Amino acid sequence: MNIEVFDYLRVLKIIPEAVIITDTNPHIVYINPAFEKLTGYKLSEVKGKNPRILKSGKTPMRVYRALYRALTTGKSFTTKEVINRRKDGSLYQIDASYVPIYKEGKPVLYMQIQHDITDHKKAETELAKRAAQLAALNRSLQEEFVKEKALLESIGDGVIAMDKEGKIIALNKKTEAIFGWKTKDVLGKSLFKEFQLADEQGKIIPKDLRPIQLALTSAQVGHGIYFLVKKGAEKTPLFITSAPVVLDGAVVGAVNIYRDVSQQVATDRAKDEFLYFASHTLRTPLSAVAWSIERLNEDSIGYSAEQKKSLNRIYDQTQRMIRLTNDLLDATRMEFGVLSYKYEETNPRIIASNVITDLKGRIKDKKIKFTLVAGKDTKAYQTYSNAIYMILHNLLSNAVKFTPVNGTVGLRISKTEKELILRVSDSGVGIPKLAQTKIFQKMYRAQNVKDKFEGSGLGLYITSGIINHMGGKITVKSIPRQGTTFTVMLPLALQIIQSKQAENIHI
Amino acid sequence: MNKLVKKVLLIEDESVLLELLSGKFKDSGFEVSCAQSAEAGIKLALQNHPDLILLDLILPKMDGLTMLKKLRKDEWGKRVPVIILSNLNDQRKVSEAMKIGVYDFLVKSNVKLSDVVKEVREVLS
Repeated sequence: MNIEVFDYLRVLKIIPEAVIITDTNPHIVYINPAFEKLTGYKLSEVKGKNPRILKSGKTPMRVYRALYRALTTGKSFTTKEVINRRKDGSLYQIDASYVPIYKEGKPVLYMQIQHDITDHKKAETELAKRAAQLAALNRSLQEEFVKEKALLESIGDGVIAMDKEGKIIALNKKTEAIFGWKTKDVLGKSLFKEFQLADEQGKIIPKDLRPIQLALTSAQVGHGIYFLVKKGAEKTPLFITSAPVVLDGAVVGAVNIYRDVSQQVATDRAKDEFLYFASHTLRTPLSAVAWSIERLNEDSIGYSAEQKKSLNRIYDQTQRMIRLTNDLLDATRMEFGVLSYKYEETNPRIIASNVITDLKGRIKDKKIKFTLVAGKDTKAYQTYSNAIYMILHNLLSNAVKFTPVNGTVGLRISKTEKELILRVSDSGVGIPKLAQTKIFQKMYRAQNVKDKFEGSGLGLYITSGIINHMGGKITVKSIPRQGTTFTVMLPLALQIIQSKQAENIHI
Repeated sequence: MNKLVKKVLLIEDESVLLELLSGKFKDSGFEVSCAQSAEAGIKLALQNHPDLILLDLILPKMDGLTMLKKLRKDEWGKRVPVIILSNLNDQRKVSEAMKIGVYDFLVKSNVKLSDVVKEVREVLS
């Protein structure tokens, strides 16, 4: 018995678990060194005291009830929910086991083995908190993702995001439809290798001139109509916008938007064709009448004065009809919006000489001194050559019309880095100050020309309409009875800036 | 045949306009041949080797510019001066024609018959 007790105590003294033994009263009989260390109490201080000195009041009552039930029925009990108070007042949570010790069939002592799980509990709580935070974050990320995805998918255009190297990092369903791709097949691949773009004639656009390149190399937004080349299918016209993604001043990628404009291009073509044949069909009978009168007038010896007058009247009215038809066709062309989406290389100098050829007769008749000044390189890109023709034809024929015999008319074509500038000046009747703001209105005719000169009031309306459409500007400076100067500024399309940059890079 | 008399080929599908043109050119001392389609026109051109061709653009089957491209493939046809005389003043057509190689591009309703003759004389002088 003695040996048993000795061994028992020895074991209790060296084990790392805190042990407290009470009698049935209950009074504390023994605490081991581990218990002293855990609670700060000495055995001498607590011996004979009720263990309630350890109570913190934070342990749920049900735990004590369950413990009481277990111990009074002679069973052992284990809990992790007991929170006790140390001598210094601090709290600690224990994993506790209560074991009754029997003597002659009756419990005489209760041994409690306590294991401090405060840190463990804290870690667990922390972990639980973290897990909850992570779950919330995950949820919000997922929501965000779903929102972004929904946004991306709800866009009716194809959208591709790419990194700085041109690798595809994201795309939407519409893109799959336009290009005939599967997302998993193209993610991470180079955008340049996945498809080719061509112009309307089918000429492949070199990599350097693609709008994406502009976004990546110069952080500018590039856009334009390009034709997607697909194997075994008709090329699809796409309106492409390429916007750089800039982070801390550096381009880190680009977002490309692809709009299928097959429908618009088809409509434009139909409108274009209508105008094409309308102009031909309307002008043919007018030409026949005008030429017939011209033939009649060649040999007018047999006509009376009255007959000659009639012939001249028919001729003049036919000419007027021709001009009105031209204006009407031009106005229709402008109002049809046929000017949109037509990008091609044009040379205003050549267009100007075509216009001058058309006006040659009238310039000669009025003995007008005509001067054309043009820079060596007047090439412009992405402007509609018909538009430039219409602008120049309107301004120059006005200049010739309103300039008296022996007067002067001049055209100067120049180009800055961003603009094409057309300047038409004359020594004509001029425009009264008050009329200068109104001359671009439909059907408006200034007082000083209304009765003396024939006209539809459509010319400048059409001209300014076209210029606005092209994103340009027209200004007028005029002194009555001295002359007028119209200045037209048309923005050069991106490609010219782009190709310049490409050149610089190569040099 | 008088070598000084210049031969002009008129390719124009509108009978009225063709009559007016041929009348004017004949009166102005030219030898005139006429065709009302591109197919007939190129055949006549390669047969008669006119000194100049006046070519309309919108023609029944083959259009004027397609005919012009074919003509330019011929050894003689490469050099013959061509003036486009059309009622289209579409600048895309003008630049296309200029690229293939034409002397001028005239819009019928904007020119007098005498202007056309004057221009032809200028080319042939």
